[in-house]
Amino acid sequence: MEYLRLSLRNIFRHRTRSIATIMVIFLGFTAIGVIGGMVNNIFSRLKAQAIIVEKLGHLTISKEGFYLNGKMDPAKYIWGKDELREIIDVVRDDPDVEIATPRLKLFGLASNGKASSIFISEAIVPSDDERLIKTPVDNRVDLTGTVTLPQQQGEEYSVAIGSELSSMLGVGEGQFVTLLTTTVDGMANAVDVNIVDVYNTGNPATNDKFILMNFGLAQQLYDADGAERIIVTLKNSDDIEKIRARLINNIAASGHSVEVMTWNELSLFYEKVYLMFSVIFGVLSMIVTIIILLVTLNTMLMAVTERSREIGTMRAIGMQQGSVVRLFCIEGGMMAVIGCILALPLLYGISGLLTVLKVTFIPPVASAPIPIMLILGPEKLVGMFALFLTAAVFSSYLTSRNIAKKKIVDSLAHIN
Amino acid sequence: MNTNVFSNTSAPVIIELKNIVKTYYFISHEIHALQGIDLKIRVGDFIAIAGSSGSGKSTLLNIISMLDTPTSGEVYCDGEDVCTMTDKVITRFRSKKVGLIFQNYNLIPVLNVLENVAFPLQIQSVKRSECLRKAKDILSQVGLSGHLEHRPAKLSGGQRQRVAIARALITEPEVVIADEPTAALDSKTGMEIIDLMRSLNESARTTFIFSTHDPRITSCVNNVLELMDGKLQYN
Repeated sequence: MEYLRLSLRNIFRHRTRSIATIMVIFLGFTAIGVIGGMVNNIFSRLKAQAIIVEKLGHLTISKEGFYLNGKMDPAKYIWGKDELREIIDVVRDDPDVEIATPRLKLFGLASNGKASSIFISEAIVPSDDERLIKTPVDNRVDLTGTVTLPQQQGEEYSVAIGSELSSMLGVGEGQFVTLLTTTVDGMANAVDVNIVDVYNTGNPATNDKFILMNFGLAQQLYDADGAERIIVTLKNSDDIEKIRARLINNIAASGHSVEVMTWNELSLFYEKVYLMFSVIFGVLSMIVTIIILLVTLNTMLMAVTERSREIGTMRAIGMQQGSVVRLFCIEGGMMAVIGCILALPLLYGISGLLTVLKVTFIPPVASAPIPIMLILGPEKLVGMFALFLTAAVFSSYLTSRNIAKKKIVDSLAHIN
Repeated sequence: MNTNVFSNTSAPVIIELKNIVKTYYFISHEIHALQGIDLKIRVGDFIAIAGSSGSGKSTLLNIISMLDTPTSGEVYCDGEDVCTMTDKVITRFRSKKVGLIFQNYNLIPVLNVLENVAFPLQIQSVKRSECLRKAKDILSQVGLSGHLEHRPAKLSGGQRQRVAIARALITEPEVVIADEPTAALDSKTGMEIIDLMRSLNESARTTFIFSTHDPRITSCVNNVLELMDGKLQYN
């Protein structure tokens, strides 16, 4: 307690210098907080983009080898009706599973009668998809950018298409488009479908070719009564790896060999974007931490030099070397604590302002704008605080350990 | 050689120096600050160490107060060989046995008078309330009861030195060592400080050793050790 009191008074002994140091820590914490909060937001939005908008769910189950060889031999990697029913039953029995829904993917040509373009189609069960898009991601349900298909009888020929594809073909809502594809055995098949929605997939790589289609229609086009994948959403995705392993075991016990992929393994860009932003954030954090370390080092070095005689006096009247170092470490640490605490209201203020202003931007590899928000996870803030505190205490330690070890008579004889 | 320099030979020895040599090395020169000092200081002594500038007064006091180590020779405090102690042990030992008064007071500017005086006890982890109670008592003995909350910068030189004396006494040391305690004061205030130290010496039998080069002070102190060129002059 005495050391705390003494340290606090020493900090405000040279107000301008201490305030400058605290300001650097304050601004550093704010800057890293803002950047970190934005990066967290981008990660969270991309996660939601993959799970909800790209409709990957949390887990995707397929026959073993599907992702390696499925395109070359689709018939081999598609489940029949009974197999599909058995596997879905096993999956739905798992207590952590919320939704298990079958899927098919079709490729082919979409035509307006005059021009054609390639399409990729994801076939969904609309009633399951209605639930999937309401899956919370990072405790947030956000229907922005989501689209699904009508569930009513007679709406099986309704599709939603990517906005870029819609532009390319010059077709829109209420108009028809012809889809030409092949069956599972490689025979040509075609159908006219009704466009009920045009939407931005959020991904420039798919926005010019994506069509969302009814699962029943896809089965007809593909001439298959089963599915090639099962999309699974979880009640709580924190233990996703544990659940994945359990599902593989349970399905294997029912006599089926499957592979289960997580959403981030299948998302085209998430991992790359995550890595890119993590590296940028890591480098920025390191630079700011080094600046804080150097600024604190400079401040403490000046303090130590100016207070040489005082340190000598303290040592002479009984203060141990370790206590001198502790005193300076507390001073450095206190400046870090004050700087970080002062930055918190500003961080939350900026966060609130961004939420109110609804500012958006289009992140790399996305085609739709996302709101700029700060996701300030307490664990991230505590981590940043610990980093800055360590930098400040370490620089104080570096500067004070030599003066603490200096001969007392030399410290007492020091002339500023 | 008679190392019992003063009369009260029945009192126990608190500090003993044996053949102390202190040599400073400056580039290629050797400066012999102390040359074979033998000295016994007994409980209750009130000793002035006199000598001109550069005679070795401060060096001798630094060695007596365990702030510095001799180049050769032995230093005993209360029978313990302090030259063999580690820094940690010697710091603890010094804080209990020795009180220090500096020429420029060396008070801690961010602490007020009461806190400055209490500080040596707080370093020893004594309870804050107990430290402050003792500090108040000692400050009243040195006549500074009315200045408890003042910062050192608000005090006169004489008042600051009284605070320094109070700080030196709070741990109830057996020896108080003062390096030129009156050098920064006018002669009247200097004499008041010497009188205060003497009265504390007489009332509590605390040993006082101080250095001075002021002949007016040495003339009114009975026990004066004269240092010349690093050697004690036994007159």
